[in-house]
Amino acid sequence: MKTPNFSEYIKNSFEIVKKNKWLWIFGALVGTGGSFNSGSRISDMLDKNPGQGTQNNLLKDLPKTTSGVLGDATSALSDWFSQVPTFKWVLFTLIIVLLIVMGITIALIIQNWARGALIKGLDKARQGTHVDLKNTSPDGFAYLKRLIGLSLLLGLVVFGLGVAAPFLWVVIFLVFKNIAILKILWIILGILLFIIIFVLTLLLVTIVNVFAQRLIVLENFGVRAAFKKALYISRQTLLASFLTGFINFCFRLMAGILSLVLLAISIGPSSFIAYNLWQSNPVTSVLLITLTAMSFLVFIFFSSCLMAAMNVFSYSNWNQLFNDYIKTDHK
Amino acid sequence: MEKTTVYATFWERFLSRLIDTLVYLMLIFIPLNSIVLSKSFDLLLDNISNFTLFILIIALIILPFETLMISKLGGTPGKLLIGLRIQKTSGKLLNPKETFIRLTLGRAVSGLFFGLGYFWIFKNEKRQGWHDLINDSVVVRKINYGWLIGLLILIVFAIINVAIVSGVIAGFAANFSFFSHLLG
Repeated sequence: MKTPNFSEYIKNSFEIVKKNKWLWIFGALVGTGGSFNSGSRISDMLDKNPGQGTQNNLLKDLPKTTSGVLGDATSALSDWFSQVPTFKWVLFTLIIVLLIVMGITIALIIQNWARGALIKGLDKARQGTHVDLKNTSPDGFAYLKRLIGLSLLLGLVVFGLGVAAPFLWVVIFLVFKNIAILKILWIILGILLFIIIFVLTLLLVTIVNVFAQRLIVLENFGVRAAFKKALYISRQTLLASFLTGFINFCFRLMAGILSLVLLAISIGPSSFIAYNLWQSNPVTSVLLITLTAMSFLVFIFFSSCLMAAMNVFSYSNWNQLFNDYIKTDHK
Repeated sequence: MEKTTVYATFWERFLSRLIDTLVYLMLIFIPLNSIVLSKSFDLLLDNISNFTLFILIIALIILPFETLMISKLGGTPGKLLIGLRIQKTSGKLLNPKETFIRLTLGRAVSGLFFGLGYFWIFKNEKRQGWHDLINDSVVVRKINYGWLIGLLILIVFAIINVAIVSGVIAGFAANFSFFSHLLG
């Protein structure tokens, strides 16, 4: 693939962000609930609700570990815990697991609807079509199932990697455990190697995700076909993708710095004056604190708008890279 | 003669949401009484755990409950009481899937930027918020003076809630010696 014209990308993206403010809604929601491409997040959540047996063991251990410090109250608490009927623990666990599953499902729906709508909306905007919530929302629903499928598939890949890599490290460590030099070498090099491989794989998965989403939404691919094709495109456009990602990162960083500057300007001087006036003039100080609180709310509003706009900007850059690949190299 | 559709105003919809909120709050406040009236540490822990379980169950069933209400009857209790109906622009009721989307994704969309999507009701000619726009739904008025009934119901529920909270505070005051002993 030819080197993309990044200045053109940036110019077009800014133009789209400026002209299509409805897209900011999707931009604000694409990051909802973090990334579910990381399977470990789901497993982490489930681990927070251990089975009843584990809870009971912990509770039985309570007196040994804590009653010495906290005294009779802890003892009474642990006595009570051990008397709670089993069905109540089961019910608690069941409801919490159900609530978590419901939360994850809702977050997946929101995030993937926004992704689908944003990618399609950006494509419409690029072609000069008017974009609003009403005419772009159905696009989010049209690709929802496939985008959720892709999220789960990539989540499984990351989860698999997260389990396999440490396992492999331990196996090799056990092989070398009797040879002192190799053992120490493996501890240092192995960890370094796995961190590098893990980071690179995560980057690759992110790029695959970017292209697979666009293959689903813009080229109507199925989940598996999109994944395979996205892997191929990622290899073909690795440098261009890294550069696009880097540009997006830089702009996000600038937006972050801008947010911090805005925060400092909006609440810094007034809170400083309010603090200094607290003793001599409490009424003015209270007024200033109220003003600071209001400024903070205005800052939160502008900051969330800025972040939403940045997401639209990033997605637009990725869309342009994808379109360039499809047009110049593929067709 | 064709009946003209009257779209519910922001304030009517806000009133219906307030009624719903007061009903849910009532459900939460009632069991609080048992906690503040506990006479022993064991009983207190029992009541707190029952209360937590109850809140979790409410949190779990509230979404399916509202989904069922809207898809079968056209509104949550608050909306039905003041004569509002959630429907597609075609006039049909939303199906359960559309209702679920409205209640989850719709709320997330409208809640963005300090709830700008809800205030959109003031601007849109069909008085649609962003949560209405995402699945082409509207809220229509079926009774002309429903807001008046709603206001009365709101006052009744507000009084009930205040009475319950007062009861909780009175119970806590009556049982204060137990709590002060507990805290040392």
